[in-house]
Amino acid sequence: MNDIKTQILLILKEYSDVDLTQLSAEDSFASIGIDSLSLVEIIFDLEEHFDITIPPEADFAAQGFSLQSLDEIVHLVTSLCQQKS
Amino acid sequence: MNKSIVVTGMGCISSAGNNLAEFSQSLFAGSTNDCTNIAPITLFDPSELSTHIAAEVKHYHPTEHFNKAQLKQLDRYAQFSLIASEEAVNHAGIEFSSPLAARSCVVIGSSIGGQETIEQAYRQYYLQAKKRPHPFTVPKLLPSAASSQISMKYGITGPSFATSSACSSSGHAIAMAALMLRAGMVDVAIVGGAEACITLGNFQAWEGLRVLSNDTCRPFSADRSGLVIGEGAGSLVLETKEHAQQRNAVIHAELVGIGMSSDAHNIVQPLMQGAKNAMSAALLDANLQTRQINYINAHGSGTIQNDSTETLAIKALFQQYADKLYVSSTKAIHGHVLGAGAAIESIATILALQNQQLPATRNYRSADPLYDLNYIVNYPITTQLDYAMSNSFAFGGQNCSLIYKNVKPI
Repeated sequence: MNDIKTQILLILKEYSDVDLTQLSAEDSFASIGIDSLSLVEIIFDLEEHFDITIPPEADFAAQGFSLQSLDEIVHLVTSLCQQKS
Repeated sequence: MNKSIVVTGMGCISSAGNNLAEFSQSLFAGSTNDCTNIAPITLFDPSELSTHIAAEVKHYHPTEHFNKAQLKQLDRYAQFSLIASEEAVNHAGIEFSSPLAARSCVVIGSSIGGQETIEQAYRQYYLQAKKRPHPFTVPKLLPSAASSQISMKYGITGPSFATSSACSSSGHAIAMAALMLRAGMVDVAIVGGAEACITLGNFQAWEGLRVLSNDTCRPFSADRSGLVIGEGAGSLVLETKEHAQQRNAVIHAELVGIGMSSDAHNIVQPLMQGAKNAMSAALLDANLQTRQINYINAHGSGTIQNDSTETLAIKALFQQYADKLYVSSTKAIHGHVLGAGAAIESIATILALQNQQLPATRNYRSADPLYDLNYIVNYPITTQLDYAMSNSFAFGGQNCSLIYKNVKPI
């Protein structure tokens, strides 16, 4: 889990000028300057890096996931990595 | 009555200089030596091609103009268009605040759009086992990306779109915007064209057409050997004369005639009648007689096909005045910038009117007895100019002629 979070933070670093080590679970991406266009790229990077397929938003929303904050992304990616293995 | 349309701003980037001042200097430089703006290709390794030359933009560093986030969304062609448009807007001294933003438009021509993006993305996908292209591939490669980026930069909320008609693309962009200005739909327009397709795949395809020179571009010269592809962008700010006068803008020229025609003939071979029809339509639109045109900035691509049809079309239309008007092609100076050509050559034509000086057809070595118009060769000449025409004749027979009028008292 922590390893996945560390790897995700390295990807997010490319898209935000904010010190991500100070990021709290409640901070939304919008509040740290990551807009919807950057999120499209981040999803792409996550898929490439972890060799996973992040489903369309409507699908993962139906499973109770969202991609509005760091914790939510870590949760989704961890779940997808577990499914893969 | 139609509204008068004037040019209040110009900007360009090409092998002939990275801004308007450098372009002007290169445009009016005279020499019998070959113009060095056309040079060996540096943007890719051309060793597997038989053509090793192009008219590349030089000393260009994208990070000096755009930040990392911007560059992710900008193909090279859109970068050039934004740079040229910024210069044109600054030159015009105009701000697109409300309510002008909604009364302004952006029309940018491009033959291909984001060729570099297309090639990079699909090379990685097909050849380098990348699973899929980057998600910004589509918004970067669109031929309308440049017009969108310009409208976003300036907050222009009126019409914004691209025109694509091969080498006449930016001529049609200027024409479309001028028609909207005349119709009273908008008061101000950012128009122009952009192209950046000096890429290996594109050159391989062009080579197959057997029209590329590996010598240099020598329009109207007996030893011509074909065209030389260039890259860059030209942008102009057009306004209704009324709007320009209300804000006390400096007027650089008036766009008085628009002529468009189609050969309806062949996808690559040009037709004399189509070229003649476009020039004739521009004269009719401007309500001018043939004898009133002093100078033609020719399409002059450097191919035998163009030299032939354009020369014969000028003779057929201008008849006894054909030998009196001056003709030159500036493509020997900035290369064939395809979709950006008409915009860059419009700027060359306007600079000629402003300076009362005609740019030469550089790289000219010997007269061709078959084509014997009054070409200006190698050295610019100073003369009195009232009206000048700029021609663009594209693949597929898509023709556009524009007539500009000098606005300064002579």
